Amino acid sequence: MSTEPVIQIRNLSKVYRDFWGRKKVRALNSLSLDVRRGEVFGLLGPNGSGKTTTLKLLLGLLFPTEGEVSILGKPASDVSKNERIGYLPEESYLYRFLNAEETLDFYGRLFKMTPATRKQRTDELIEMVGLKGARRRQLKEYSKGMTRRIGLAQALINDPELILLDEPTSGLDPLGSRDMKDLILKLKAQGKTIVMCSHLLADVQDVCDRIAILYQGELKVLDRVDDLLRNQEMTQIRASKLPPDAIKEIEAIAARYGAKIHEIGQPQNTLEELFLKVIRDSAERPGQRFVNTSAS
Amino acid sequence: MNDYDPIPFNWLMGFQTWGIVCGLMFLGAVILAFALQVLSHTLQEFEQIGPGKPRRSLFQGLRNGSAAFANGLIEGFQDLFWMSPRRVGAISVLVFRESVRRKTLLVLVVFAICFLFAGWFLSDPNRDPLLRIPIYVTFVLTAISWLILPAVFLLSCWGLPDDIKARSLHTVVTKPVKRSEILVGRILGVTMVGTLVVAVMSVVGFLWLVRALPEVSGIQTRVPVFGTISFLDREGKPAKEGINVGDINMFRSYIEGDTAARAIWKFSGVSPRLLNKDGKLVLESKIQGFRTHKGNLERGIIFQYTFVNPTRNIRAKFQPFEIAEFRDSIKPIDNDLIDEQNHPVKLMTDIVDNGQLTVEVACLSTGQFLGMARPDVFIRAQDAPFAASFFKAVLCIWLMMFLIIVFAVSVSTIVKGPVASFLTGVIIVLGVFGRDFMQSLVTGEGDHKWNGGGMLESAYRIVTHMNPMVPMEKGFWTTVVQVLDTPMLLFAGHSRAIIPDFETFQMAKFVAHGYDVPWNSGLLPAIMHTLAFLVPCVVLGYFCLKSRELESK
Repeated sequence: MSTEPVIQIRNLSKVYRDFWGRKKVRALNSLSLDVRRGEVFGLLGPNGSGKTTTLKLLLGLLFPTEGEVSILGKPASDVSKNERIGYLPEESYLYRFLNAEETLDFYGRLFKMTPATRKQRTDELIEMVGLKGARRRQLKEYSKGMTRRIGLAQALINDPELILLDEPTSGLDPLGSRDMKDLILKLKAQGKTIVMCSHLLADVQDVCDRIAILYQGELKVLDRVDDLLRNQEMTQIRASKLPPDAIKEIEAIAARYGAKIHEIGQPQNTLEELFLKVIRDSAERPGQRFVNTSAS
Repeated sequence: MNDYDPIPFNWLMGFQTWGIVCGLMFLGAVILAFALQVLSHTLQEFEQIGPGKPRRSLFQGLRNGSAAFANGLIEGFQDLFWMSPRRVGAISVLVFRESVRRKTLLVLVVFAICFLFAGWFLSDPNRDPLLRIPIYVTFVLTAISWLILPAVFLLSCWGLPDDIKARSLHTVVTKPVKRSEILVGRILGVTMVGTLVVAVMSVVGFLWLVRALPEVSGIQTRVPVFGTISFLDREGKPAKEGINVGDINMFRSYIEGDTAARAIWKFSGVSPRLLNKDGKLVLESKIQGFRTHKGNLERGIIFQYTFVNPTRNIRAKFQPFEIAEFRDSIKPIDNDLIDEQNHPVKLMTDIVDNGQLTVEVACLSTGQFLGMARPDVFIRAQDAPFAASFFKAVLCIWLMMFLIIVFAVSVSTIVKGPVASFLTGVIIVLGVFGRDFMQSLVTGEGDHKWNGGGMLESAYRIVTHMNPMVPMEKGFWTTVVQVLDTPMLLFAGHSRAIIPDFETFQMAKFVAHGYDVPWNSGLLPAIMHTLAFLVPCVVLGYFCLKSRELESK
């Protein structure tokens, strides 16, 4: 991963004011951080912590009260920066009277793509987000998950260098959520820089290289996910088919060195892993009940 | 022409008024924007530095505010001048699709219903076709206006605010799209829908006219060449106007019969191309008579044309004839005339002087009067097809529609749908009904002459219960009040120009009465009026949209 910053935020503050200019709320307070090329960066925080405000300041949808933002070397107010950016909003605010093809064609036109390129990109993206069967249906007939998918497709229409995702997995079923996370990792592998904000911690943990945690508009933590989550006090051994005698021996060795074993047992899979296994098995063996081999 | 004087477009005056009004408007907007920038930066500095150093806060605020203002202005004008046609086209097509899918084209169904049953109510089919034509033509043109204008009005006022409210615009502004492209794209999109509807309505309306009145397909429209008019009084001295015979609204001036009183028309650009197929110059007139005594009731009042070349002092009289009251009188003038010295003269070579033809009109009936206004005598050039005149009138409806779209979309960049509708609605109502009233209020001239002075003087009169007709007592305070009123009236006069004059676009008066829609006093003013509003509306609309936080809470 490169250390070249793609986004530079310096002392960024945002105060929302009422019609008369009176201060309503300070949504962001002196935020400073860099996002590096090629990383997946997560903005975390509870509701109202300033995640979405930060994203909207980056995109120029809001104007900063103080501070500076530079994206891909350009100020946030410069629309030409958007040539290399893709944005998936929290809700997919797309034109509901268009169908998937028309939607992607419209956004392609905004990037001045030729008709042939637009057609090619549209076909690729519809295939990628799994909306091939619904490409001619108007978006108002789409489910929430389908709307998120077409929202993602429009964010990628220009093959962007930097992708800003606001709550990318919100409204998606576990399968869709897994696909979204896989896609984020795939985009990362292609060298894209991704900034996502979410309050679904498991999703962030799964895909992010670095995170910033915001609380009441202030930056509380900024570091690599691995480093933040690593517990230096504990040691984990994961083994398969370990017989009971071996476990006793391990306990004895630990006691000999003065260490305390907190737990020995069989780890549990996550519910997400189980769900995905059930769905994949059902797709492979239609009409048959799922048998959980790993649980027996 | 029925009591309507088609004034030719005055380029100099048009540009002068436009320059002054736009200049004042932009100056006001620039001062306001600058003040807001400086104020906002000063407050920001004040918060950062603290209340202890107000001078430093003020200085920093002024410096940063000025820089931000200058950057915004430069960036703004760059955005306005460098727009991508492809992106503008994409947004226009999007708006067009949106409008069509929101069933805007249902307006055509309403139009069709109007036409299915219109024949029942319009007029008696046994009536003289020439009297039915004005009613039918006015109905078709009015129906097109009244159906298309509300549709585009709603689309223009609500489109952008709805887009912002639904946040669909977020996915557009986060692409490399300038706010100017959004504004212009939206204007063009609604215009595309309006154009489609107007095109369908006008073609259907024309076919309906041809079907309802078969004689329409054969009729031609008159192409008038208007001149200027001046008067001589009963002693032959130049006069500002003729005599008022008691009309409250004096459209026509009267000349007295059997005196030296004359109405003199001067026509420019007279050339052989204005001659008819027989090589004659056709003069058409609609002159009114006013009898001070019965006279010979079986004969009309007699009048006479005299063709004059003032440079060579040639005067050739045309044979006298009776006026055709309430009807148009058409007189083809032969090229061969006899002058007052009984020498043969040629109209086009001896009388017409450098393309200018002077025609004197005299009333020959003693004690009777002839009433004339500028458009009452004109040279009738070769007739044009009725369809051409009809579609020129439709073009003017289209221009009015476009102007409303431009205005409404620009307003909707800064306010929400209901407010934009209200504001645009007020402007339309004022533009249709209130402009003459405002004109007379401000200038003290016009049909509704207003007395009682300016704002301060009127206020003084209200407080002191003074009749507006009573002159103010001369003195120091009267002078002060009148001096203060002058700039206020001047400002009000220029502010009046901010409201579009929708009368400029009404061409039914030409078509319904069998005239071709003239270029210089019909189409050109309508086009220039539209362009005059297009530029400032787009510029102000753009800066409003640019300075707006789309996600503001």
